Amino acid sequence: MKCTNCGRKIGIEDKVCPYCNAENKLATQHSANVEQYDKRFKKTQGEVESSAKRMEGLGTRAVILAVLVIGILITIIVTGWNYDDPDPSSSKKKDAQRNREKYAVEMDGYLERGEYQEFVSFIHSHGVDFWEEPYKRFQLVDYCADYYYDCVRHMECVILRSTDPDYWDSTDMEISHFCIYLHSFHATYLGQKEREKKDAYFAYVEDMEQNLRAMLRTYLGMNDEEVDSFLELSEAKMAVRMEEIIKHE
Amino acid sequence: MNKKIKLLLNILIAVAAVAFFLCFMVMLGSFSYRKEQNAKIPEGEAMDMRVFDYRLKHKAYGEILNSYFTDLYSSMEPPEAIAMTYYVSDYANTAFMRRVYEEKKDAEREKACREKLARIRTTLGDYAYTADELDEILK
Repeated sequence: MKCTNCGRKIGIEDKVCPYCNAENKLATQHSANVEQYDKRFKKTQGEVESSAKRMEGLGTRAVILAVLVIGILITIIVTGWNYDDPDPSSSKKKDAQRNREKYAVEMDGYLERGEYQEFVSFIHSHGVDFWEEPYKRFQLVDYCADYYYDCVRHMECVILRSTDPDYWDSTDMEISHFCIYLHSFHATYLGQKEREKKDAYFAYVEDMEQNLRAMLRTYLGMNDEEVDSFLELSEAKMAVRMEEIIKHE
Repeated sequence: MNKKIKLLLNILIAVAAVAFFLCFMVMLGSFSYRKEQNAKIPEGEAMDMRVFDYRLKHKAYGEILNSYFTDLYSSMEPPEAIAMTYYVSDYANTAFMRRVYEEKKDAEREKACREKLARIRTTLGDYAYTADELDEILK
């Protein structure tokens, strides 16, 4: 700064000018300011120190608490994973939704090739839900294919049963199941056949019917007339007739 | 005020420590549960193979097929450990259906069955005799 009297360069803390002895009023003011700032600084410092003293240990406790809470959450998640037995059907359903277009094409392929058992296996193993598009169109054919699947299954169980007298003989039960499913299939087939507006996949249902008729001719030695009259019987009478044939009674 | 906060934090830490200890013990228990569950799968598959061999001994192909049709609902791909049960069952089912197509005079599907039977036969290995038995039963 410059002396207000002689204009020469002097220090801010010089109370008088070393050149002209004139009083430096700013130096007095400066000294008072410094004193005031010093007081305020000490006061603030004291406040900070006492506040820090009061807060001492709170941070450590908060950290410990946070670590414990995180630890609890981790153990709960790990325990959940270990006890979780995932529901395969729900993941299958999600998969069937994700790949719906691709799976619908595959299902059409099975039907076109006449692989009705594979069609049913595919539906069940992939958790296909017929209430959702694009699977809705397969509703009827699946209904019939399910019966067809069970008919073939139980007929195979009967024809390929063990002849070992020491082995459990489930023939009666299998015949009974076969007749229930055959009767249900045939009733559904006839219901569809009589409709004016047929389902888009009815041709496949008809093909299944032909396969079942061929199965009866092949393995029960029936001719076409006998197959017709057999299909008109009730489930119970079907079972009796079939037992007669199978057991040559 | 701060003393109260400190006291509260101390109480929370104590509760959290107890909770953590309990959760940790439950977690240790869950590992042994998971281990048991994982061990059950191969045990189940070994049991399936024993049942399969028992049924083969009695030529109970119908029973084998019955299980196969149930298994197909879960997976069309044969699980590695019980793959042979799938191959033998597939052979039995195809041989059965071949005769149906033959009766139906569906030459195309019958040919497809014949080709499939020849293909499955090559995978049967030690169980190739089952194909002969099935051919004999279904002829």
